[in-house]
Amino acid sequence: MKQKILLEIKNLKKYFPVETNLFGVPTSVLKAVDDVSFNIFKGETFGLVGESGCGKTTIGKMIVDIYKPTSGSIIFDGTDLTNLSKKEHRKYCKDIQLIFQDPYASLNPRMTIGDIIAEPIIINKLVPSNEVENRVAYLLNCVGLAKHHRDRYAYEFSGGQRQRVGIARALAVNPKLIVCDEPVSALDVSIQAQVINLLSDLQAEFNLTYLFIAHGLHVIKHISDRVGVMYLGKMMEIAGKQAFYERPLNPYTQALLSAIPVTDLSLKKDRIRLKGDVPSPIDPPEGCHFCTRCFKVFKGCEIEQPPLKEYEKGHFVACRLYNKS
Amino acid sequence: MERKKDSQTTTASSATPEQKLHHSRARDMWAAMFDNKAAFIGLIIVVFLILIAIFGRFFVTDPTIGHGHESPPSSEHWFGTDNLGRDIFSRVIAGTGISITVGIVGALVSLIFGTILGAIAGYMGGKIDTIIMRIMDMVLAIPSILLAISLIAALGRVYDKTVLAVIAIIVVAIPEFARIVRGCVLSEKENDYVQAAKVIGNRDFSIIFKHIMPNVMSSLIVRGTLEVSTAILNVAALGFLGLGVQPPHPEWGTMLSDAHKANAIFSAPYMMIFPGLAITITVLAFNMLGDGLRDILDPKSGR
Repeated sequence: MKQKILLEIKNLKKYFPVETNLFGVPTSVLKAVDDVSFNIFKGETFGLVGESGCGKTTIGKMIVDIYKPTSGSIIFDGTDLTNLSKKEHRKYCKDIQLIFQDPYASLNPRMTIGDIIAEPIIINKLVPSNEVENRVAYLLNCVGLAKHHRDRYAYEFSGGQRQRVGIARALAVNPKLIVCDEPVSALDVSIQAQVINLLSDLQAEFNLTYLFIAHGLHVIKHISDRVGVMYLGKMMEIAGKQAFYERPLNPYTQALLSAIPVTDLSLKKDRIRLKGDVPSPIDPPEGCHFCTRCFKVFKGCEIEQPPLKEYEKGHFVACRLYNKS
Repeated sequence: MERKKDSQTTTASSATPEQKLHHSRARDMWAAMFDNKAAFIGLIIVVFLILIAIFGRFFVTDPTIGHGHESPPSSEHWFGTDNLGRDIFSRVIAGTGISITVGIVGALVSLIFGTILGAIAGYMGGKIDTIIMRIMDMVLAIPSILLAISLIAALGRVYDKTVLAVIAIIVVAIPEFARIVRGCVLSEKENDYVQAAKVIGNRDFSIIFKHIMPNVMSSLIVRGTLEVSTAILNVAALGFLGLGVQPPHPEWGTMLSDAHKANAIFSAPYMMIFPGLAITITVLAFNMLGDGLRDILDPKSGR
């Protein structure tokens, strides 16, 4: 089955200057995203996991042009978005949307939710002005809100309802790709399931492609087709969902998966416990970024950075265990 | 203490969900205004002063014409007359118009310029920010009186001295607003809803003025109200120094200066008491209103 690539991330880097000298030249940089490449196929959900500060949100925000990449390219539907001017980039607002992590901060407190949802429609001139209200009502209905909610303010809603408003705003422009930046991690578990199911339903209905960023592996397991794992700005492993959960290759992925809590204690396997903390992304370890905490570390790991290589079909891993050939 | 208590009860009562559904923000604000005594008194005095400023001159005699010499307050001249026999009550009322106009127009103009500069600096960041804010720092270093003196010394023969004085007051107040707005914009623009506005395709201009500004407004209103009293005080100070409004126009500071020149402090104290009181009450009223608005609008302070 040959799938069409919708989004191609190539050698993407984002360095944030931490300190600058007198002349504004950075003397130390935080490598939030360091040489990451992956593809997202049309119609799939690509789950991106990693712990806090690993750069997954930064990738999402670079795709929607909130951050400018330091280098590398983001190719959407054949067009490299990184070289576009501000004005040209705005055209792609219609195609790529973002659902924010925090449903409390992402809605303007001074606007009614109807106005919040109508705004992208009006700005991008998607429908004639007399049909905007119909479209808003339709979108409210799509995300499971009632028409009479239109004139209420965000503070009158619960977290789950607010996130539905955020989803409706993203849907308003008929996007092809939605970057879901931890859309459920600010919600409690019962609401998480509702929102995830809503996202799945919408994906089927509107033929959407998701880049689903999360740090909860159970969420990723439920919604993703393929999964990428990031650690300290590096992509460690990319695999189809089944391969990812059944045959994780990278020791970091194995450790992550062993940390998923299980309800059936008889199934509990040995937990891999990693020692120490994540090193600072300002001064990451030489060689493999994970080598300071890896339980399978061997000689040479601390010198050479392993590239992301295809180990078996569709299963990429960046670890020296697998490219000794 | 009492004020704090009052606003706390307002918060508690306005927090119930049923009320929130039916109450708009504006009505909540009015309720808080009535509860906050200082703000309410300030508001009443300010409204009263504005009414005097607009309609006062229809009820008084010509403040620039007088006969004879100073006379103490009487039933005919409520505040007495000055050394030229002009009715002080009429002059104080007429002076209200000048002071309130200068105060409000001055504050408004500097607010507009300061807001635009501050918003651009805060939103754009980088070199633009540095350039704008360093210029603002330079302006901030100039005292308003000194700027007025130099402007009037240089251009006083060609242009109206009152206008020059007001320009000096406006220019000096701009950095204050620019700093406030820049600070607010800097903190607001990191909020997700601003990023969301960008993601859905807003231009920078509409992000600043449609999304960020309404959330900065409360601090601006507070600062603007307080700036009115500063401007009034400044114009009075300039008038007292003979730099602002020129005689025979009635201006409170100029009236004080007249009284001072006439050596009236002991012989005719009413010549300085009434304009002085007018300045005090006006400035106090705007300050009370401004402080009250801060308590009402800023959820972080006082509540």
